[in-house]
This record gives sequence, structure tokens and C-alpha cells, in this order.
Amino acid sequence: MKEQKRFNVIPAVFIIFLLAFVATYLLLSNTMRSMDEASEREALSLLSENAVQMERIFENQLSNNWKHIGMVSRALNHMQDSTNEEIVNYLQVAMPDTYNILLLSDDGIYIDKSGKQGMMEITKDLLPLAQGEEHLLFLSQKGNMDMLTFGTVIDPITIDGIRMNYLFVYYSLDEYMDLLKMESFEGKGKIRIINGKGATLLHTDNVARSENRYLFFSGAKDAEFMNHPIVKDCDSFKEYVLSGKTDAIRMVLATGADVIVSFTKIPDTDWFIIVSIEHDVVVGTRTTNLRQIGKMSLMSVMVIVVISLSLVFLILSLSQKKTKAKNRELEQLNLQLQHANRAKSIFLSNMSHDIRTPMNAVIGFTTLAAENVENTQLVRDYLTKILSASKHLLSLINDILDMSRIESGKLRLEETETNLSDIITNIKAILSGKIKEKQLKFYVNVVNVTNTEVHCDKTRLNQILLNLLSNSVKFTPEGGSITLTLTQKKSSEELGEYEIRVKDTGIGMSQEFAEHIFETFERERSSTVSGIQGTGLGMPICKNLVELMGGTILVDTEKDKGTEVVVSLPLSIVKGSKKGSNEDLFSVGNIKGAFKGKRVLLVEDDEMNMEIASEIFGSYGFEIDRAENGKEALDKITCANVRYDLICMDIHMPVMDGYEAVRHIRNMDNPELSQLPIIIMTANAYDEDRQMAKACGVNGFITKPFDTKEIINALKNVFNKNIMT
Amino acid sequence: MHNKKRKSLILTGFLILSLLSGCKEPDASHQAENQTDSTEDKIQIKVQYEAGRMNMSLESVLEEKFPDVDIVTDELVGEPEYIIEKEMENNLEPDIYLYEDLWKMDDNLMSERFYDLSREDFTDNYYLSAISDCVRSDGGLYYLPGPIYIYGIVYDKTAFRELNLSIPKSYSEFVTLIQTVNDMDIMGQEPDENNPEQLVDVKVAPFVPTMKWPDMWSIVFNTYNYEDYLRGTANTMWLTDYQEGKESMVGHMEGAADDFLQLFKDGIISTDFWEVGAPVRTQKLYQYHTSLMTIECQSAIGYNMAENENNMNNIHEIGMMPFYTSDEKDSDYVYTMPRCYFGMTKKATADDKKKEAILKIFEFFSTAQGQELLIEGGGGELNLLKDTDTPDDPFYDEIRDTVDEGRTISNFYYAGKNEDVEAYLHAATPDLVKGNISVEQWLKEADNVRDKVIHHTNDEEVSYGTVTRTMTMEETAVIIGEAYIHATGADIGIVPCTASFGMKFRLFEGPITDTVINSIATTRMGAGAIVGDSGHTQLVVVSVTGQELLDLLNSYGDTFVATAGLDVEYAPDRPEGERYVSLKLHGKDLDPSATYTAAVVRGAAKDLPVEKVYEELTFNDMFIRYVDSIGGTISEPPKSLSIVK
Repeated sequence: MKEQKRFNVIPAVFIIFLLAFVATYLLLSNTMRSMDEASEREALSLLSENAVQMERIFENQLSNNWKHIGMVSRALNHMQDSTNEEIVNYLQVAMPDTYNILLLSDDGIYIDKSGKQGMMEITKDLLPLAQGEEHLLFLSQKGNMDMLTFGTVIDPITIDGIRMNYLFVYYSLDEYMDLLKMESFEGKGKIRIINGKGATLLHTDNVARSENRYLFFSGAKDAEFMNHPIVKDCDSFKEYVLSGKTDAIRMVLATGADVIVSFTKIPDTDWFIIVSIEHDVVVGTRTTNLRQIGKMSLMSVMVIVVISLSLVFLILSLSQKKTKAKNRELEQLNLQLQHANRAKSIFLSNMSHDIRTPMNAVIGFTTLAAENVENTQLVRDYLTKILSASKHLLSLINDILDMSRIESGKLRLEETETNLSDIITNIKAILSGKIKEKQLKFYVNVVNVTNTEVHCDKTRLNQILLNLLSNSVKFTPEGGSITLTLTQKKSSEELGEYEIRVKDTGIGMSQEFAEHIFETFERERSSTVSGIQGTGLGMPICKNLVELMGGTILVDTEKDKGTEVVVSLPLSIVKGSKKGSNEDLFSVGNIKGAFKGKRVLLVEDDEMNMEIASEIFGSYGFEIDRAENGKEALDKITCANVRYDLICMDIHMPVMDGYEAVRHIRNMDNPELSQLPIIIMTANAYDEDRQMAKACGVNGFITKPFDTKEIINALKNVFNKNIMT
Repeated sequence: MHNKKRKSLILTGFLILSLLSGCKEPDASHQAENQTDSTEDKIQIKVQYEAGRMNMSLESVLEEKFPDVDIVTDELVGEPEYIIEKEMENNLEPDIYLYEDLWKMDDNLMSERFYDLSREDFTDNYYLSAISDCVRSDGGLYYLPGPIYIYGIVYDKTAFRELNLSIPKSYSEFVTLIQTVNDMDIMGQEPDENNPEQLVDVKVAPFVPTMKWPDMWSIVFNTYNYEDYLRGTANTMWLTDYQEGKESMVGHMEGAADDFLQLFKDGIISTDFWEVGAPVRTQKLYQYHTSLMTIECQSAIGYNMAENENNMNNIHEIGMMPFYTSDEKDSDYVYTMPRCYFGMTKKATADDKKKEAILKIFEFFSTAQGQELLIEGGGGELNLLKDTDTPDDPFYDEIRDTVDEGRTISNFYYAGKNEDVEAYLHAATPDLVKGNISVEQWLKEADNVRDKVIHHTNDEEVSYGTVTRTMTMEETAVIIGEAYIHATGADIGIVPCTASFGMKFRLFEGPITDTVINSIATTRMGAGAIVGDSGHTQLVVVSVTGQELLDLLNSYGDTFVATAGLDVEYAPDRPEGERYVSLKLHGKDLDPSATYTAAVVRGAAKDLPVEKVYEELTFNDMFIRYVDSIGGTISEPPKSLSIVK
């Protein structure tokens, strides 16, 4: 009987093992298949998005170029009475980044931006312009390089008795393609721009290695098109792409290469962007990993069953759990990667929009201003709008640069004695306009603050507060409230624990988004949707700055209820500090004419900057004297007849730069000259530049574009000291 | 001007003429088909190039640069398109084609028989726009462009200095210059037309271009009429419409025709130039200095250098000036033509080593140095490579501004890819000048020719007979020799299997048309003409002893020389000089001391005494008469050649 019982157990064990094996196999296969399909879908979607991204970058560049060319051609229209020299000078100044610009007559005679006249063969390719086309984009060769050439019809302008009808602008093709290379899957994606016949016009370097690189669709001949509802063969593929669709298709080429090809049309052209990438590069590695895990799991099952039936179920169960955990882990990793990539794409897309929007305003209003130059009121209105757009653009650029510097570890804090109360007052003043505009209630609470004088980087603390409060202003609907609370927590004599809370009754955030708010490139809704502009870099910058200061930042938020951001900062307390700040000797309101009788020497090589600086300093009452470089400045300073009260010096200038000129001045024997107050005015706004200027012995540092408040502060510092002495 | 030893002059003259005519003996490319390769350890690469368009040092430079390869050159002569087509049909194509009209060839032929270069890295060296022009409808890149030839007026700088002549700066100054030189009555010396060994006094001509070919006509006609009739948007629209058959010469080009005729009236060109072949023009300017100017491209540098090397006692410097088309500012132009494209046949790719070697050669061709090797004469060039500078040779001094400021005219054809309109206008120009036809007739007929081209209604070629089977090169040479005997009544017809005063291409099964006859023509000067070009391509009868004949045949080295009329035993495997085993006339061995008559092209007869010259006989007429005499059918060549071990 015992033997019989044992005999019956073996087949049962075998059957159970078999069933368990089959079940595990089916389960894993099914899971892997589902994940494969999901990966495939995700990859295609990602690729499709990538093509759109490429197109946007390219289109954006084209569009900017065309707009610029349009502006130039309109401006030329107003230069009918100008001399040849003036026109050539204008061409040089108007488009300095182009390889060349030329005005062309119907007879093929041209004048270019160097003033050189010559002849250009009117080939068949150029005829569309003469036959009514407004724009023409084509490849050409100039100066040993491939060129992307923009041609447009202009209102005729006469030069040397020749009627010039066309404007041609040459851009380096390499520079254009570099734009696309950045986003081609770390260089693994092959990017082409093809025309309506399928012939390749431009391509990235890596396309050069493949056959038929010049006629894209030939490469797809005899390809097997995978799971696409419309595209079944090369002909339908060609038709589908050239119909202007945006999509991504997986195909196995006759050569055996398994690729995903994404494509989209460039609006207003007969050109298409095609991005192709090997399937494995996008989805292959992960799929392979999953399969290996599956195989390992199956082997585990078999080994375990052989050892002990009793452990089969347990181990199977464990194995499944492990597999699931690993899969979850991989899924998680995958999701994170996808999320990061998507966030980056969305960021680029948003940036494209966000930069274009103010640029459009600048270009558009400049054009309008040029067209209505006689209408002063209108021009003033346009200029106000241009100024506003420019400021916004500048803040975007600053954010991006800040983030880049933070990430590269270049950002250093510059701690000075700072009054927290002044900072809050200042911020309140900055935001008061917008707060009033949105009819918000703004409360400031100061709790237990016994030491307002602290050591910290004033600029960066300002930046943090401005960012947090600007967010609150942006995302709090009309009539809502914002509360800023500054609390001094436990403190020693030297160190104070400060807490800054910014709380609003705004639209809040989803928990899901709040988790990512400090990640670079995040923004809950794009500005194109919400109408609210921003880089999505504000919060990451805040977090990084706070952490750089040794503090922490937390967010508490609820959708449609509001958000509270809590910043904790350890700040060293200024010994023997007392509350309060100096009264402004020169407030913005009464600055006009305040420096009457004083003479300033403006040293600046850029005509436009010189004009602006002259206007500003002139309005403060300064008598203006000008020098175009350091050498000329030294000559003027040492001239016995003139004495200056202030020198404002640019850094980058021909002949002698600003630093060298400052060193010369500081080394002069005559103390009256060597101690002349010098303010550096420069577009180099980094701390290194400030340090360098300081080392040279300057008294102040202002950045371009000019900010009147910054100028006033610099003047205040310089003349306060002088008055005191 | 000429204080040289006469003998040296004659020798130099012959050498340069030989060089220009592609007379490069012994030429391995024309060895008999059953001969074996003497350099078996090397990779043999057969390069076929268009006659007269190739740098003669191509072979030596490539072999020096690529020691593993043995370059075998072969000329495309007469009817290149027909020859290439037949070569492809019969699997006779070379490994590399260097040919001006590769771009005209059929898409299907290209994709079937040429290697696609698009995957090769060196194609990145070219401007993308230049590459785009070469890409075929299937996306294949079957050939790459060689250098751009610039045509201008090449002048003798040294002579200008000696004669105190200034370089003109306008059309009027150019006319005055020609009159001035004519009035100066400068005398020089050059070989007598009828007796090349004899130097005779001649008046130095101011300007001797060749107008023998339609392309030269295009350069002159299009350049001088460019500003008023071809430049700018309106004229380009007219030309585009004309090429599509929507416009007429009549109503647009009358002024151009009048201005063209003015060139004759002003003494700039003359109908005499229609008879001037390239060698005559070249020897006058570079060798004997009996003309001061011609129309030429950068190749002039190479020609002049060769002459200077041959005559170190009388070095002449040359330069190129633009065409001055009017007295207006910026009316100076140069004309440009792409003259060479290079491609590899798929046949060559069957051997991996050969393919690799050719790709290395192509990589070299895709550099500035390599492009220079692709130009006839080896002068500096402008090319379509990125990141290369224009040459700074003093030769270009006078045209530098012209090129730099874009006053270059690109070659085009009035009927698209076809040169028939130019061919007609060129051929009919002498009649126009003489008043035999009116301007309107001239232009109307051009329209008719254009219509025929675009509507594919060109007349079918006349067939003079039939070839019943494809002949070998040696058999074809023997048939041509038979035609010589038929035309002259000589005992023997001598035809070297080389393009230099011999024959070029084999007869293929099919009708015998002018195209077919042109393709086998005795000389590479084309059009089937034996006459012209200083008499070197004329058919002559020479008297020759049996020994002299054997010496002549052996002097051709490994090149087979057909001797129609004789029974020949030929041993291709034996050393050079021992391959002609026996020569029999009417069954008897030739007597070494007996004298026989032989018909041969003068250039191939070397020093044999000429008995009779057939000045007016063209190759085509001669061959057609021969075909007619044998009843119109060439089935088998006379059984006169036996191959022996």
C-alpha cells in the first residue's frame, strides 16, 4: 500500500510541475508581450513627438529668419533716398549673423553687404521669384561652404542706377543642421530634410553612411511596414509622408535593419523632416532585459520544483512576486525615464513658444513702430510694449542661465550685510503693481524677528522671494490673498534660524505634480494652454539656491485651494546690528537733474549703448563726454582742461579694453586722477566679472541692459562715499 | 622669334602633336584582345576617358600614388554615347568612366550598370548642391563631378611684353589690339602645311581660336550675346520656354545674330577658324608662337608647360583674359563648362580588391590635388569641393576679378541635354556670314532642329549595310585596312589598334550607320574625317620594303597592327618585337628588300616616304564605298590573321 501511494504521488507532482511551469510561462509571456506592446506604442509616440520637436526647432529658425528678412526688406523700402553707403551699412548692421546678404536686380547684378558689386546667374531655380513667388529657399554654395539661401522679392530700391528687386540672405547650412543634431537621440537619430519629390536636401552627418541617402524613399523599397493601418508598402508610405501627416512608423528594411521613422511637414514649405532611428535604440535594450528576466524566472521554477514539490508553490509564488517586483522596478525606471524625456521635450516646446512670444512682440512692434514713425504717441506705446517683452525675455534667459550655472556648480553666493526688512519692503514695492492689478490682498507678518541684519546673498534671497511671490501672484485668481510670513526661530548670538512662508489662496497643484515641482523643466500647464508664461525653472532654481544657503524648502498644496511654500534658512547674524536702513539719498522720483554740474565720461564702443547711457546720465543732470575705447578715455582723462567726476566704462572695447584702462587710471601718479570714481557697465553679469572688476579697483558695477535702479544704486554708492569724505 | 635648330623644332612639333592627339605609343589599352596582361601581380584598372579631355599624366601619377594598381587607359572617341551603350550591351565596359556626358545617360542604365557612390564618405567633400545635381531619380549617386573648365582668351604674355602690347579692357580695345597686331606684320615660322618637316615664314596672327566644333561656337556666341539676350530673369524665362518648345529664336535672337556677325566684321573671328583643329591652334600659340591669342581653358597651362619643357631656350609665359563683350563697365565674362564626371561600373565591383582600389582613387579624385589630375593639360582648376581655395597661379590674374564678381556664364544647350541646335547653328554660320542664308532662315532652322529634338522626330539614320556578327578589335582593324586598300589600290592596308592614327572601336552586329562608322573612325579627331589637322590624319600611300614594314610593326610594341592584304601569323604571347611570326603576300613571304605600297594614316606611317596623299577623302566616304563594293554586308573579315603560339 505504501508503495502504491508513493507511485501515485509522482505523476501528480509531475502534473503539478507541468501545470505550474505552463502557467508561469504563460503569465510571464503575457506580461512581457504586454510590456513589449506598451513599449512599442510609447516609442512610436515618442518618436512622433521628436519629429514634431525637430520641425518646431527648424520652423522656428526659418520663421525667425523670414521675419528678420521681412523687417529688413520693409526697412529698405524706407531707404529709397539713402546713399549706397548707408544701405550697405544698414545691411551689415541689420543682419550681422548671416554669411552674406545681397540685393539683386532683374539683370542679375548684385551688391552685397560688403558693398561689393557683382553678377549672379539667374538660373531656372531662381525664376519662381520673378514669376510671382514671394519667397524662395534653396541650397547654394558660397565661400567654400554649403549655404541655405533665403530669397525674397522686395520693393525695388535703386543703387547706382540699378533697380534691385530681390533680397538674398545666406546662412551656413552647418549651423542650421547643428540645431537639429542637438535633439536627435544623442546623435543616434538620423535626420533629413526632404523636398516634395523625396530628394534629400539636408541631412545630419550620420545619414552619410547609409545607402540611398539622397533619395529617402528608395531606402524604404521592399521594406516591411509593421502594424500601420494605412501604410502597407513603399508607395503608400511615400504618399502618406508627402501628404503632410505627422506620425511614426516601424519598418524592417530590405537590408534587415529594424527602424522607426517619424516624419512631419514643415509648414509653409514643401519640405519634410524625417527622423529615423534603429528600433533597438529606443525599445530594444529594455525588451531584452525583460526577456532575460523571464528566462531566469522560468529556470528558477524548474530548479526549485526538482528539489522539492513542497517548495514548488512557495518558490513559484516567490518567483512571481520577485518578477513582479522587478517588473515594477523596471516599469518605474521606465516611467521615470519617459517622464524625464517628455518633460525635456515639453520644456523645449514651451521654451520655443515662450521665447517666440516676446520675440514676436519685439519684432512685430518694432516693425509697426518703423511703419508709424511719425506717430509719436503710437510709437511710444509700441516702445513700452517692446520694453515689456524684452524684459520678460531677459528674465527667461536669466533663468535658463542661472539654472545652467547652478547645475554646473559655477554659482557662488556673495554674502554681504543685508537687512531682511529692506528686502521685504523692496519685494513688496516690486510686486505692488501686479498685486493691485489683480486686486489681491497681500499680507506681511513678521514674527519674533529680533535680528534683521544678517549676512546673506541679498540678490539671491531677493530672487527666491521674488520667484515664490511671483508664482503666488500668477496663480492666485483676482480677489485672492497672499501672505508672507517671516519668523525668526531659535537663534544663537551668531546664527539665526529664519522661516519664510509664502501662502496663497490660488489654484494650487495636484499632488502628483507637486512631487515633481522641484525638477528641472517641470511646469504643470504649458503657457500655450494656461496663458501664463514661465520657464518652469523658477522652483528648481529656488530649491537649489535655498540648499546652497544651507536651508530647506517644502511645498504644501491642494488643488483649487492654494499653496504654501516654507523656506527655512540659517543666516548668520551681523554683530551689533541694528534695525533700519539708510534713507535713499536719490530716490527714483527725484533723481532727475540731481547731478547737475557733474561731468561723466562714458566709455563705450557700441553706438546704441552709448546713446542709451547718454540719455540716462543726461537726464540725471550729468554733462556727458564720450570715448569709444580705453585709450581714448585715458587721453581725455589726462587732458588738463577737463576734470571728470565719474567714469562709466565698458569692458569689451577695441584698442584698449575697460579693465586695462581702469588699471592705467588707478596707477596714475596724480591722485586726483587715480582716485576718480569708476563704474563698470557691462553685459558680463556673472560674479566672476564682478570680482574681476572689483580687483581692478572699480567703485561700481552695472549690467546691460541698463536698469535705472541699478544705476541709481551704483551712483548712490559712489557719491555717498564722496560726500561723506 | 625663332632661332632654334630646325631638327629640334620638327621633333618637338611631332612630339607635342603626338601628345595632344593622344599618340602615346605603345598604348596598353589597345593591345590585342588575346594578349595577356604583363603586370599580373597588380590590380589592373581599366579607365576609359573621353578623347582629348584627359590629363596625359593621369596613368603615371595614379600608378605612383597607388603602387598596387596598374592603370590601363582607353579613349572614348567619336561617338561616346553609342560606344558606352555597346560596351554595356556586350559586357565590355571599363572599370572607370571619365566622361563629360555621364550626366546625360539614361537612369536605368545608370542604376543597372554603375556603382552607387552615395555611401562613400568622400562624397561629403563636395558641395551638397553639386551632389544634388548628380543624384538620379532612384537616389543613386553614380558619378561625381570633376573640375569646372573656365574658358577665356589665352594670350602669350611674353610676346605681349616683347611687342609692348597692352591687355585690352573693353571690346573696342580688343578690336584695336587685333588690328594693331595685324598692322605690325610680325613674322614667325611654322611647319609647311604640305611638308611638315619644312619650316616656312608666316605672319603672326593676333588671334587663332578653333571654331571647328559646336562647343567652341557656343562659347563665342553665348558669351558675346549674354548681356543682352541671355542674362537676367526675362531672358532666362525665354530660354527656359525655348528649351521646352514654347518660344522661338525668331523674335528674340535677331539682335544676337547681328552682334555675332559684327564679330566677323570687326575681324575678331573668321570662317577660316571653322577649319582650324585643336592641334593647329595649339601649336601656333604654344609651340611656334605664330599666334598671340586663342580661346582655351585652364588646360593651356599644361600645354604651355610641355612646350616650355621641350624648348627651354624660349620659355613663354601665358595668361588668360576674359572676353570683353562691350565697352560698358563689367562687361568682361568667362565661360564655364563641366568637362568631366567619374563613375565606377558595377562590373569592377565583382572583385573586392579592385573595388577598394578604385574607391581609394575616387577618394583622391575628391581632393583638390585629385581634381587637378582630372583636367586636360593639368592646369589649376576651379572645382565643386568644399573648403578648397581658388588657385593663385599668375595665369588667372586677369580673370580673377571676373570670376570673383560672378561674371561667369554656365554652359547650356538650347534643346536641353541635346547639342543639335548648337551643331546646326555652328555648321550654318559660314553660310550666314557669306550671306547664303538670312538671319531669319538661320534662326528658323534652329527652331526646327529644336522641335525635332524635343518631339523625338529626328530623322532615322541611313543604313549603308549590315554587319552580321560582332567583330573583335583585330578583325575590325583588318576590315578597315581592306577599306584602305579598296580606296587606294595599295598592296597593304596598315591599321594600328590604337586611337592614335589607327582605329578605336569594334564593329557590332547590326546596321552600318554614320554613328557606327564614326565610332570605328581611324582618327580620334571625330566626324570621320581623315582630312585636316596638318595632314597627320590624312590617308596616304607609302612605299615600304618588307624589312621596313616588319620594323614598323614591331615598333608598336604590344599594340597589334592590322596589315590587310597580307596573311599574318601573330604570336601575342611572345616578347614584344617577335610577335609577327610571318608576313605573306599572295602566299609568299615578304621580301625584306622588295618595295611594296601600303595605305596608312600619315601619323601612323612614321618616317616612311609618302607616295600619294588623299586630301579630300573622308573616312566615312571611304568606308561607305568599301561596304558598297562588297555588297553591303560584312559577315566575316578576310582570313588573313592566324594567331600562333
